[in-house]
Amino acid sequence: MTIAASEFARLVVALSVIPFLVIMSRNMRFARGSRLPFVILLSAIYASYILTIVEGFFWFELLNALQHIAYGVAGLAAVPIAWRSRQDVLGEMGR
Amino acid sequence: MAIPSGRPRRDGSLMLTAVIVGNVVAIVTFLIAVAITISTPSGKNSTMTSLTKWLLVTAFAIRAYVSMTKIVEVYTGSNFFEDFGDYIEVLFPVMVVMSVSSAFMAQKMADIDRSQRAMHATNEMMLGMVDAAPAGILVLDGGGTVTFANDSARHILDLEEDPDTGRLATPGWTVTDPSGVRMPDFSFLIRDTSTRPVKLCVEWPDSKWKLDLSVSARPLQSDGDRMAGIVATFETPVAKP
Repeated sequence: MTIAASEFARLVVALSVIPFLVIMSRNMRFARGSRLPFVILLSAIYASYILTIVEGFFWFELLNALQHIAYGVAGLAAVPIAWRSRQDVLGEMGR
Repeated sequence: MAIPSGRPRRDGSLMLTAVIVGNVVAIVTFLIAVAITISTPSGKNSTMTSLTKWLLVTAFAIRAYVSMTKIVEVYTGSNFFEDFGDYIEVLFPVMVVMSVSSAFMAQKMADIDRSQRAMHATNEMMLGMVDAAPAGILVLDGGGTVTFANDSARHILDLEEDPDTGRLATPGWTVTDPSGVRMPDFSFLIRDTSTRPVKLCVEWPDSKWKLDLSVSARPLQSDGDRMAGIVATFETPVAKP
């Protein structure tokens, strides 16, 4: 049971930026309806990072599948974030 | 076909389907997100600054690229793209934090700008109200110097503004109370911060003009209890020859 260096580095960097994300996200105004997709996006990405490492210890097939499904979930959450941010900016500009 | 992972591989059609579907959905959706973000207008005074926009585009593109490497690995069995993709993917949370930070700062700057404009508009309105008031309104500093006078006060008291210094010059009045006791000038109002009106007589040099005024004053407080000046108002007087 070895952990790939790249996977470990990825998880360490991701975990280290969590405090900054939490603090700034709490004080920031998100575009209407984009806060939840943002949480889902980050949760899915972080879940995939953790699953990549855990799958080496047990339930490889299931956790590996969940890891890749998490990528798809993250992508599905990214579209409303981008769209609603765009609508918010257009609203700001009065268009 | 191989199942992308850093682990020993096992072949399973259901797992393979999940890998392909998950990553194809990720590629398509993240590329759509890239396109939408690129088409979003950005501006200096917008919460979507250019920096925020391109950080988001980079983050979404990284995610799409990583999913592409997974698909490539499924069909080629090569680990190269997966390892490279894992290291590239380290940038994703960094890009997200930077874009959130950039958007956060842009929002704060926009809030400050809005507050300043609102304050400026309020100041303009208050100044307009003061200038339009029929009563004379004076502001004196702690030393008794007139620092502001509205249009009515300037007209009644014959105040002229020095074009070079912007200071208001008084025409050398003689200020007395109703019993005739002379006051040095309006600066005595600094000492007397009572709110009841004070009757004064203002006489121009050479007795050219004499006015009876009823003056009300309020102190202007600075930090703590120190008085920074005074605001005085007076009604339109009845002139005596």
